[in-house]
Amino acid sequence: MPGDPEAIACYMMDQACQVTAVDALFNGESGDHAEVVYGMLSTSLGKKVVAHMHTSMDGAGGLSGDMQKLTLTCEDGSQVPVVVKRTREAGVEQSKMMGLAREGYSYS
Amino acid sequence: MSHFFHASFSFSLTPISLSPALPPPLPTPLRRLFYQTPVLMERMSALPEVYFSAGDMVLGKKTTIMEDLSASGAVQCGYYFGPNSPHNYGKDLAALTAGVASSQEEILAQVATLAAEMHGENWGDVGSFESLPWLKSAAWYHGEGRQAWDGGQAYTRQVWAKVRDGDVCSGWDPELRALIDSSIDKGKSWEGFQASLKEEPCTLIHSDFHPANLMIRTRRPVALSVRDYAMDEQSSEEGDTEAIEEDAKDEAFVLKMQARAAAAEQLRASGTLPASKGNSDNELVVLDFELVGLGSGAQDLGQFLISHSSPADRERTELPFLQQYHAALTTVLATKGVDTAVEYPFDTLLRDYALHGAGKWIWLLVVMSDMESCKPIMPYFHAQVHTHSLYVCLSVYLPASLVP
Repeated sequence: MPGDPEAIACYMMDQACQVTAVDALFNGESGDHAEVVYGMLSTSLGKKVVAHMHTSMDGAGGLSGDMQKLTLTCEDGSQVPVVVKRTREAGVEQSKMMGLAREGYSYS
Repeated sequence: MSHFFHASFSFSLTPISLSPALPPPLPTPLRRLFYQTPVLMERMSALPEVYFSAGDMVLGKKTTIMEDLSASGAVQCGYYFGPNSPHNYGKDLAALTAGVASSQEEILAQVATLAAEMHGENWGDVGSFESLPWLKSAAWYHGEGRQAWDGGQAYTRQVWAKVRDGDVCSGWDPELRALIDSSIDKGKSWEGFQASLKEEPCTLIHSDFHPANLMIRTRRPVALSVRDYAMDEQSSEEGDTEAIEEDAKDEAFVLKMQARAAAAEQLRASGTLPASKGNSDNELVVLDFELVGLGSGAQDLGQFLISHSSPADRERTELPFLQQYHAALTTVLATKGVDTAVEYPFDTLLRDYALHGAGKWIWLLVVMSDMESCKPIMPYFHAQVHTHSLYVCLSVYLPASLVP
């Protein structure tokens, strides 16, 4: 159910769903996916995230990644810039061959 | 919890009270490694703060959300190495580096010490990485992964056969070409490779350690938030058995790290702790751990120097860089009871720098020659390797079995 807080909370409990939500946000979607990511980052930052803005980082991202800057707006009016890095579709095969997803492990 | 994604997100139903400017770092494997020793704990700011991270080696995908280092004024280190590198072609380097007053020399000095600390603290400690099987080359150090190794050897032979007489490689230095031919023909067997791994010191290495993968920024107050970290962990969701078990482990971990922090404080007070940060007002941050793994520390040094520096700059900075690295490594290893004068003298570092530094680049030359995106810049990388004093060094240290 769109906008259902319980559904969003459940989504936040599942790591694969969290990744799906970040991917959706990366691709410009908003709605419930954004709410999931806001919830994740609110917990981590210790203050509620209520909005975001994308900035492209063309050319950055290492061997197989794409990067994007997100400027998060918090409930208290402050802004927190973060960077999202994820495997680009065209880089998946190279990533598999070279094990590049290990970066996700090293930070997790 | 997904079985596909090895990930952690420190989820809590209870809001935690934290300074908004200093969110707690997640207890990542890299941070755990850095927390292991007082020396590396001092370097915690060399790792970016990460708010979410997940990876799947089977699907080949990863997703990470981390601090925006540019917001703290950090500048990519490669920009300080001048217009020689293709990474910097067409860029206004003066403008890009205006935010942090630094230089190639300062960065090299800091990198030498940082690399020595990272390598020294994990020196020869293969067993401690058994819980991190995803580290690059880790399986090989445990006698496993022969199929992947054989595949890599076959791939290199196949690529060289394809590109050797093509447009990209035909103009290469004849001695370099002969060396590659010889290496391909006389390459080690799996058994020989395994034997060589046992003979050489191994450590945790970055494996993609070039200047563009580091940033430099004006030093900021250290967010050594062991206490915050403890609060974060203790606030994990109740009722989740797995979380409770993790908490129990982490509680012990936090206690251990608090003891380490106290030990570091004592060492600092007594002046025993190496001046790991040097006297600079700046500090480094290391990024891009896609290839982090086990290997020769000298491999990182070779990559750092060969990637960006012009041959003239390298001639000038190479020896001081290696000397500083060795001096810092000596200090760190002494705390572990290892005497480098006996076990890793400077000559051995030079040998490793040639074999693993230049050796890796020569292999890269072959592999990159078959990548469409790299072909236009191959003359640059060929020049970087073949004019490099490493190449001369290689002629001294090359095993007789590989001499063309």
